[in-house]
Parts: sequence; structure tokens; C-alpha cells
Amino acid sequence: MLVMINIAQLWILAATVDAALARHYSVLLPLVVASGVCFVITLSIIKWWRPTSRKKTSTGYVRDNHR
Amino acid sequence: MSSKKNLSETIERVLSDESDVRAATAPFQAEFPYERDEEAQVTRREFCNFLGLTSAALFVGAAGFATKAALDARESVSLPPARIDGAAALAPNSSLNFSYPSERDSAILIRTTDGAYHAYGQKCTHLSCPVYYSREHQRLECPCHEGAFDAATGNVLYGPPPRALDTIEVESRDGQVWAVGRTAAQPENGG
Repeated sequence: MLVMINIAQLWILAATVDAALARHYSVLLPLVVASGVCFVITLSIIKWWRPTSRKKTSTGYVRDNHR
Repeated sequence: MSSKKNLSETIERVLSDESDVRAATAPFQAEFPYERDEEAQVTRREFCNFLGLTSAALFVGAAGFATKAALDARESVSLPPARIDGAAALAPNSSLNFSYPSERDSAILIRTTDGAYHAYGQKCTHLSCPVYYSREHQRLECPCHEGAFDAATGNVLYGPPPRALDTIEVESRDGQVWAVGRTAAQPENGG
């Protein structure tokens, strides 16, 4: 998922460069916002995603060997 | 049955301890100078962090590029006239490279077959490759992605460029050709 988001951001960056060179200024802001949304999603995944094989305890996430 | 059990135990052991994965590599690889142990020690969390940093870099890049483009668009300065050396001796249906307004801004002066002078910024409006004058076709061509521009107007003839070339206004003064201004063309579909 993170790799896919990175690829999408790479595409957005290419579109931003293309739009800037073509002086299509009206699309620059939406492109930057889209890249920012991708970045926020990436941060959210890194912050909150955990493997399903882990369970949360009072000291953090540990491997659940009983599954 | 016992072999299946052994296999599953091995898989479990290998998955639980990365040092076993490294130990399972061929003996000749130990002779290579790079630190294989360190190279193999990339945890899932580190990989995620790397992707997070990449995401941040891509966001900063897009924001920076857009900001610079927007700031450049607001900038309006009056450019000083500059004489184009060698332009007066330029033969019809030929071109001359020069820089205007600064040394970094490469430009191309064209003298068409009717003797008129036209000057344009040399950066292709697609992806900034330098355009050149094709004497055979009497037009400006971009070698990177096969775009072409009209020599007399700078307008796009065909190819991927989204707008005309930047136009440099030229004047004849005392038998010399001077560059007196530079105008960026707007996209053909608005924007």
C-alpha cells in the first residue's frame, strides 16, 4: 500500500512539473493538495497499522503465538 | 510425516530469526567485501519509515516546484536591451544562439528567408530540451520528443509542447540587432 502511494505521488510530482512548465497554474494547487493527502495517508498507515499477527498489550504490540 | 514437521520447524525458525536466513547463503558469498549482515537487516518498520520519508520528499518536491512556478509567474521585471553579437551578419534561413536576459537564459535568433529576424527562448515548452532551427523544414524542432514550432510566430506546429515558445522582442538599431524584451506565451487551452 505504501509503495503504491509512493508511486502515485511520483506521478503527481511528474504532473506538477509538467503543469508548471506549461504554465497551467490553476492545476498546481490541486496537485500539491493531492500529494499532501497521500503523505498524510502514508503517515497514518505508518503510525497506526500493525500486522494482524500482533496483539496490543499494555507495553505495546507483541507477537501472538497462540494463533 | 516427520520430514513435514521438520520443514515447518525450519520455516518457523528461519522466520523468527533473521540470522538463520543469512547463514543459509552460499559460502562463497562470505568472501565478498560488503557487509551482508548489515544489508540483510532491514526490518519491516525501517522499510515503512523509508517509504514515509520518500513520501515526504515527493510532497516537498511537488510543493516546492509549484511554489517556485507561482512566484516566477508573479515576477514582472523590465529587461534591459542587449545587443546580439553577430546578428547583423546572419544569413537568411539560418540561426544564431545567444543568451537573454541573463547568461543562463539561452535563446535562439532566426533570420527567415524573407530577411526578418525572430528570437525565442531556446527551452522547449514541453520539458525544457533546447530547440534548434531546421533549415530544411524552416521551423524550430525539439529533438527530445519531436515537437516543432513555427519559425515566424513560435506557435506549436505539432508534438507534445503545450504552448508556444517564449518570444524575445528584437529591434534593429544602427544596423545592429537588439533584444529588448521577453514574453512568455500562455497555454493554448487557457490554464
